[in-house]
This record gives sequence, C-alpha cells and structure tokens, in this order.
Amino acid sequence: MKVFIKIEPGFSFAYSEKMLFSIPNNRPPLLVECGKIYGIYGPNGSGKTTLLNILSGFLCPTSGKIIYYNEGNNNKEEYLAKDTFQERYSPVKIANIGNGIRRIYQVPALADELTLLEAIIIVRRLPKIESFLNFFNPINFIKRLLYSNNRAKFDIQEAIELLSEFGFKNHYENVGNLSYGERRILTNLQMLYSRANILFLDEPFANIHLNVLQQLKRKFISYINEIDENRSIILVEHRSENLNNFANNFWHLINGKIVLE
Amino acid sequence: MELIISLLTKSGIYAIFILSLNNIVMGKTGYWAVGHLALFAFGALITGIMTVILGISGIFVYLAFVISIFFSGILSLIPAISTLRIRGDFFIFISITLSEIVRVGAEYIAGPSGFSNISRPLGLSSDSSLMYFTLLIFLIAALYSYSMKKHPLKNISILARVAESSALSFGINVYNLRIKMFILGGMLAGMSGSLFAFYSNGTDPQRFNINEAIMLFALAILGGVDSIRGTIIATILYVITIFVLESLFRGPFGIYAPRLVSIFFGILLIFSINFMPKGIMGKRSI
Amino acid sequence: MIFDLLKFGFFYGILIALISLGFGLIYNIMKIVDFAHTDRITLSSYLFIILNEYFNIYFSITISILICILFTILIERFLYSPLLKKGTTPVMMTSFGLSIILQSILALIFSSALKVSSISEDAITGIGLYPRELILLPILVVSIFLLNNWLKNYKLGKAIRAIVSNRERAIFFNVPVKRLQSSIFAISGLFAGIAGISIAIGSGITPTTGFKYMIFSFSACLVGGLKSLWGIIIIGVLFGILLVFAEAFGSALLSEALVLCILVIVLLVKPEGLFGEKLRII
Repeated sequence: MKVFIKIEPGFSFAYSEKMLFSIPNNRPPLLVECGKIYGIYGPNGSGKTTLLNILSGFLCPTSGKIIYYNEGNNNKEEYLAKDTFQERYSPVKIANIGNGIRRIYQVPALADELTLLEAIIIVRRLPKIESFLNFFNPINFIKRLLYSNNRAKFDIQEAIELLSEFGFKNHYENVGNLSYGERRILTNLQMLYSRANILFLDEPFANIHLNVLQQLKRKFISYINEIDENRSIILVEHRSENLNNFANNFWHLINGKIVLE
Repeated sequence: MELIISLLTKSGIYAIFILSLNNIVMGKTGYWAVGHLALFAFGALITGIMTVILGISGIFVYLAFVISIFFSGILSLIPAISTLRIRGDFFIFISITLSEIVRVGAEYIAGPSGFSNISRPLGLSSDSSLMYFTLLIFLIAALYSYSMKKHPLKNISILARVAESSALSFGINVYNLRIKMFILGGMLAGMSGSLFAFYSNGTDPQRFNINEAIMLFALAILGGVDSIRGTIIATILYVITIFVLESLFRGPFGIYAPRLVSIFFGILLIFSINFMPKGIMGKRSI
Repeated sequence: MIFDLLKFGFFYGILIALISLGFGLIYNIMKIVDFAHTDRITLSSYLFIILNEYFNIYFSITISILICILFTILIERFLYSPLLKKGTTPVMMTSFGLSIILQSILALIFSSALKVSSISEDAITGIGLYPRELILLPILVVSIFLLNNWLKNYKLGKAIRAIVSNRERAIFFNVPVKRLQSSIFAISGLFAGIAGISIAIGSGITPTTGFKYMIFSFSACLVGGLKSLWGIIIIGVLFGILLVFAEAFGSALLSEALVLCILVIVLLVKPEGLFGEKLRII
C-alpha cells in the first residue's frame, strides 16, 4: 500500500506541560495509506481536533516529526517538525502537497460573499492562473475585459452537478443565505470537489439529515475508490454509528496514546 | 478652462489614491489603512528629493517618478509585515504612526514649507498634458481594478479576508497575497503622491498631516469599499467641496476655508463610519 | 547641565504620564484609544485662559476642570456609548473625527496664533522649577495610588473586567456599566483638565498643541502596554526625559521622530507593549 503520511515514533504534543498524546519510541509508526478511511475517536478533550490541526500544519508537534510523501514532486518528502514549522506558512505548504490536502472545520468557515458555485470552485487550485503576476499580463487583462470567465467549462459543470445532486437549486445564491446545516453540506461538497489526496474531516456529519448523510457517505466512499487516484480520508467523529459502516481503520485516542484498532 | 484642468488633475490624483485605498488595500485585505496617506506623502517626498536636491530634470524625471513608486512600494512593506502579528485596532495604530513618521521626515528633509520648484518630466510641463497623463493612469488603474472582478484572485482575496483559516487549509498563501496587495496599493498611492508633487510643483506639508489622512480615509469609506464608481464620486465631492469653500472665503477670510473643510469632513467621517458603512456605492460594509 | 535636563525631563514626563494615564484608563474600560482626549486638554486650556481674564485663578481652575469633566462625560454618554455596539474601531475613528472637528472649531474661534495666560509665574529659587510642575507630581502619585486601590477593590475590579470581556453579560448581571464607564471617563477628563491648565500656564496654547501631546502620550501608552497603568506611567516619564534631551541636543522634530520610531519598533516587535499582557493573534 502506498503511504501518504507517516507519524514517526517519538511524536508527541503537549499543551503547556500537559501531555495530550504521544507515540512511544518502541511502537511502530502511525501510517496513513491510500484507499483507506481512518476514523479518530476518543473522549471529549482527548485532542481529536488537535491531532487534525497538527496534521494539517496549524500546530507544531512538541517533539518528533510527521513525514508527508509527495508523489508528484519526484517523491520528495516534506516533513513537519519543530525545526521546519512556520506558523503562517506550514498549513499552506502542507495543503499543497501532491494533489492537495484539504480539511473542513467543526464550524464551517465559509465566505458569505461568495456564491455557492464560487465557494466550491475555489477549492481546486490553478496556480498558473491564480498567480499574482499573471493578473498584470496585458493579454489576459484584455481577455478579462472582453470575455466573462476563464475557468474551464467542465470544472464548472462538475461543480453544478455536485450542487444539484444535493438539492442546491440556485447556484448563484450567496453562501450567507444558507442555514447552518446547508453550510455543513456545502463544506462536504467542497471536499468532494477538491480532488485532494487526503481529506481531513472534522465531524463532517454533525447537523446533517440522515438521508443526505447516507448520500454523502456513498460519495466519499466512491471518492476514495476512484481508479488511478491515490486518496484517503481521516475523519473525527464522536458518534460511533457514523463511523461503523464507513471507516475501516480506527485510531483511538486514550490516556495520552494513539491506539490502533 | 484652466480651472477645469486643475480640478480634473486634482480629481485624477486623489482618485488614484482613494482607489488604492478602498479598492486594493481595504477592499482586498480588509485592513483599515487609516494612515495610507503616508505612502502618498512618501511618493511626493522622494520625487521632491530626486528633482530638487539631486537636481534631476528633463526626461530623467520619469526615472524619478518610477523610483518614487518603487520606494513607496518598499515602505508599504512595514504595514504589510506588521499584519503578520497584529490586526484590528493595532493595525490602525501602526498605520497612523507610519503616516506621522513620514510627515516628520518630510518636514525634516524639505523644511517646514516643503519642497518648491519640483520640475515636471519632459513632455508633461503643460497643465493639460499632466491632466491627460493623470487621467490615463487612473483609467488603467480603474480598469485593472475592474477586471479583478473576473479574476480568480477576487474570490481568493475574499476567502483570505473573511475565513483566513479556511483559505490557509485550501493552500492559499494568505500572507504573501496580503503583502503583495499592500505593495500594489502602496505603489499606486506613491504614484499619486508623485503626480501630486508634479501638479503642485511642490510638497505642501499641510497635505500630508494626519487630519488630511483621516479625511481621505473618510472619503474612501464614503465612496464604498471595492467600488470604482464610489471612488470617483467621493473624489469629486472632495475636490468640489474644497473648491467651493475656498472660493467662498477669499482674502482675509481665506484662513476659514481649510477649517471649514476639516469640520465638514470630520462630520462626514463620523457619519459615514457609523451610519453608512457601505458607502454610497459599496456592496459590503467595511 | 545634564542634571538640569534630567530634572526638567522628569517633570515634563510627569505631565505626559498624566495625559497617557487618561488614555490608558479609557482603553481599559472601553477598549478604544480616545484620540479626542488631548483636544479636551486644549479645550480646558482655552477655558482657563479666558476665565482667568475675568475671574481669579482658583475659580477659573475649578470651573475649567469641571467643564472639561462634564464635556468628557457628555461625549461618552451621547457619542461613544451608543456607537460602541458597532465595534471598537468605528468608535475610535469617531473620536478621530471629533478631534478634527474640535481642533477646527477652536481654530475658527481663536485663530491659530499662540495664546498665553496672563499669569506670570516665578520659578522657585533654589530648585529652578515652577510650582505648576511641582504640583503635578503629588497629583500623579496620589491618583495612581487611589486608582490602584480602587481598581484592586475586589468587586469593582471584577465589574470592570466583566465589562471589558463581555458587555452584554455584565449588563445582565447588574453591573452598573454606564455609571462605571462614565466615572472612568470623568477621571480621565479630570486628568485632561489638570494637564490643560498646566500647559496653559507654562507654554501657552494653540489649537493644535493637543496634537503634539497626543503623539507623545499615545506612544507612551502603546509602548508601555495599554493594559498596564504602571507601564504607561514609567514609559511616560522616560519619554519626557528623552524628549527634553532630544530637544536640547537636536530639534523638536528629532524628538517627535525618535518617539514615533520607538513606537513603530515596539509595535512591530512586541505589539502588546513592554509591560502589557500578550496579545492573542487569532
């Protein structure tokens, strides 16, 4: 199996002297392999979300390191440890590894001013078009003034299909008009649209109606099983019934340890 | 005719400045750059240093123009980098402080009445040619700003401003983008400052003090963040108000005009911030 | 020479510390920097000079300080408090607008010429200091001790912290938000009035004098850390000494530039101030 992320033995994280979790030196490393869905569970305050925050580069591990295998870039590996951690740039660096690593938050972080379509499309990045200097290219400048949009048509088509599938009728509505539950669905759709290698989902199914939830789960399963794509999902969920027929590997956070089950 | 040319040039210069403030710095990064006038003053100051102290003239004044834009861009790195650590009210403090430092520096280098006899570049020595040049620059800046609406950068900057954590996790380099926007805004402001130095043939320190900065900030808010039409309306309001008050109070009453202008824009600031946060033309509140 | 400068600097610093204390108090209750604070100083100076032309000195001091306090409370009640629900930044910009308006109105009425009070004051022989300077020191010491005791008072300190952290809940728990706010503003108005009279007797006043003091005391506040009153006072006194030295060996512009550069460096490196608590970034 292809390994994406390896959490080396010796890894630990502590909040001001209070040890939250660690992997002892004599244990095997924690692996994230492609095609699998990992479920993190544990009691409240055991640091499930914190673990996701560390994995996505928002927090720095207290000791040890996390290795990200970057398949696109000549198998060059990135690693996150105290010496490579930069508060502002690590999340960006990690999010751009390979085909991307994306995450959603417990509280949906969406920009109210965007339309639904824009909010979805923004997840997939086009570094060449989006670059700041490209903005000043006079040819593109004239093109922008004359034509409407330079996004590839099929990109938009895919996003529209995804939105329609989950019952969003008006794609040009502002995100600000959505209810809380709809926002949660929208963040899940962002993940489904992203084509990222790894998805970090922080309680993705809370406040979502059961029917939609089943549909989302099916979508996520077909997302990681897509042929010729190396994908996997890590999710935090405190309701075990949401994990049971979905995740196939479990990380149990208990007593400051990460236990594989 | 001369009057119209002078008013139009002045409008063009301030329109470029306000565009850089409310469309680029405030519009794209969401930071309240109250002391944005610092970069305007800095552009004018560098132009003054190059032409008066170093004695550049003729075609090389264009070089001075470019260099002052460049240095304004460099100066705007200070507020841009400060956004790494501070936000909200503290950014306003640093912005105001910067504008004061530039004023003090300008007074130190150019003396209490500022530079005089700044030479214009070759080909722009007549007032009408300067007007066309200014309006052309404004037109280009405004069109670029307009075309931003169709560029992915627009959505990215919205996400970076509203939901920073989300933008970071989508791989958007929020801080680099913000620094670039600040530099762009700073360069535009420096450009307008340099044009102002050409227009008035000098650097009047009265135009650089903190009250002026606040008044122009009030205009930027009044016009509406992220709105080009609002920018034009606000600029015209500014230029016309000053013109009307100055022509009403002439001669011995001349000292009343700037005070009344200050009172007018002070009231406008309080009013527009508290009761019209969207401005005249803006779509979102500040 | 050096000793003399040190002495003058110290007492100049006391004046700046007194003004900064007003800034700091307002920040600690409302989380805003009130840029119109120094314009109230100008206002009380003008009031004092005018009143002193007709009445005796004690009467004019009392009346001008009282009017200054009243004016501060009125501004707080009818301008800042109603706008506070829109956030602190709009209130701060409002205070800036107010400052511009006040300055311009004063300039309209009194013109921008320097206005000096008719009181001629003799330096105390032997020390070389003026009584108005000497009187500021006990005022500052007494007020800081009273304030410290008052704010340390368990119930009151808790009430103020409650107001700062969550205004609505404070109202819900019957904390007298309005009264506390007004009294803090009144104290800051009192400091402004005292400072104004001292400036009026000492150097005379123009409508923009307040602005100079605003730069100095605002910088002292931010460098000292807005949340620590002691930090503000220490930095205020140090700034006073620095300013006197810079003015003696350089120029007035140099002193301004020095203070502003210190402020920028502190804001960039340690935004919470030298004595303040750490700011939370996100």
